[in-house]
Amino acid sequence: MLIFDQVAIMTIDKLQEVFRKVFDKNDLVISADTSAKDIKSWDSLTHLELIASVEETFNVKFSFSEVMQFNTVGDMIRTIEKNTGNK
Amino acid sequence: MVKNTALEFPDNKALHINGQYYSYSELFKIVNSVYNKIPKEKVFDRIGIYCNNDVLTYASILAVNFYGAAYVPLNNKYPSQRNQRIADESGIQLILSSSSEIKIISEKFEIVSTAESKDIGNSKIIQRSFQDVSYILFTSGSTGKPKGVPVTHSNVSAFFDHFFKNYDFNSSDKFLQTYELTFDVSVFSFFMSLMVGACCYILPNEGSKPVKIAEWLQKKHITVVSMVPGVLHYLEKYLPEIKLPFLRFSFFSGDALYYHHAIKWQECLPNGKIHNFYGPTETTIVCTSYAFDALKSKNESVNNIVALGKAFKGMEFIIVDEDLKECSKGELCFSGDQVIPAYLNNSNENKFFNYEGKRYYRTGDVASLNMNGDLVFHGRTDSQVKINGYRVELMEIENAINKITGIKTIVLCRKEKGVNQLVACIENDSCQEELIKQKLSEQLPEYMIPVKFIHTASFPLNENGKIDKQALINAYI
Repeated sequence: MLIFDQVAIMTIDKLQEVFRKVFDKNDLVISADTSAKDIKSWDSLTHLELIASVEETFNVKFSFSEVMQFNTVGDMIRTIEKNTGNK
Repeated sequence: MVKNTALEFPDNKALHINGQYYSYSELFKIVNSVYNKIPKEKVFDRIGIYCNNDVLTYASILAVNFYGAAYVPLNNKYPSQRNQRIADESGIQLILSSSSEIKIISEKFEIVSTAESKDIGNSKIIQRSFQDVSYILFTSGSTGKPKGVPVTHSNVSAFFDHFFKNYDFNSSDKFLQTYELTFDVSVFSFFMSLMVGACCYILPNEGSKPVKIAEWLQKKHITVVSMVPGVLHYLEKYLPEIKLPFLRFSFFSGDALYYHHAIKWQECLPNGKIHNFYGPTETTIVCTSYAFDALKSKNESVNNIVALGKAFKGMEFIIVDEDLKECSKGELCFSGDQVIPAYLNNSNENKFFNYEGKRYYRTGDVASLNMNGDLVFHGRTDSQVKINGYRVELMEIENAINKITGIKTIVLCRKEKGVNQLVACIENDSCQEELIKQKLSEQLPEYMIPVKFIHTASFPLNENGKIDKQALINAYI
């Protein structure tokens, strides 16, 4: 289990909304450990759609080397915070 | 032939899978172990392989090949009913599996676990001829029943002959295997690599496939890759960041390769060539090739689709109209060494016909020849519909919308109160229907303008990475 600070918790809340919209599941609950294995419809397609939605929501643009590192929600949070200057 | 390379390069890396390398001698020890698990009491001429992404599955393919039987891959992502049907249709009695979790409901198949340490000690090798079947794959049939395609050793040999004569693959190459084993191009990626003593890297079955492909091409210094063109569609926005100096050959097949994707991909490859291949499973993997050239290919692309090129040696084609008479633009039909003798259980005989003493296979694809003698693709015979008596190629409308919006579009035909109507499905979060309709009316006659526009963030794909039109129809039509 990954441990995050307050900023990360706010990020994950916001991310959860993005996930719920992309995967069209209003009751979806994510954690830093959530990966594609935990969400059935998280496939090649939705992965890139998810990234586009995250970029739009957080007003960031990920590089391809960053996208390659996205295996869990925790990876996303770290990269978002790096890009938004929160870390 | 693979056995010879194993003897010639015993210490070369043969396979990389799940984070582990296997040398040729290590791989063949595993192959031998799987081979020794095939029961010796009976002779099996077709053996099912339940495909997991592991070394035992790949070793099973080789073991069945050495045993002399045809292999029938069963996809672990398929529902059990579909695997059951494939197993029934192909008449297999034995299934090799590295996993105990098998989605097969019937007990009539003998299932042998390749993961067990116990060997039965097989001594049988089937005497086979060139005309015997090497593998059987299943394509989706228009009736909803999978269609078995038995490909003979003779077909496969003719296919590989093209690559031995035209490419300089060697033992220092690194191939990337990106396909499911139920997709026929996997035969190329896996066997071609082993036949030249190279290393075959198996793409991990995790994460986003297009991202994973680009990642592995970069990290593993892959030199030869074959993939579906759709990969470029998904990577498009990242292509300016990707540089692949080690990649020598980028092969595309399985779908239309768009010029605007190919030209961007070319920028990623300072030392690499792009070859576009074409061929249905019935003509053994691929049977035409076209070397992409930034300048030449732009002029030769039709509807922004890169040309299919010329037929392999040993293959002949004709282009025919609905009455099977030769014409300049029509259905592409192949005859030659790579065409399968028949479908499994001689089904779908109407896909073959005799012409001037040769047996031709009807691809269902509409093609013509350009000035340079290269085949160019225009669409499917079955995407042609009639609206108010007018003949309409759905692809023409798709391209028109694509030109207006720059967004991928699929046009489908539905019957509403007995009348054919066109529905445009746009891959986007939103759709400016009125604007598109207005722009379309500037290019197309009224009957070619879809009556309904729907939009979806991403098109559903089938297991081979192609747009699943049936799923779109089920969801929206």
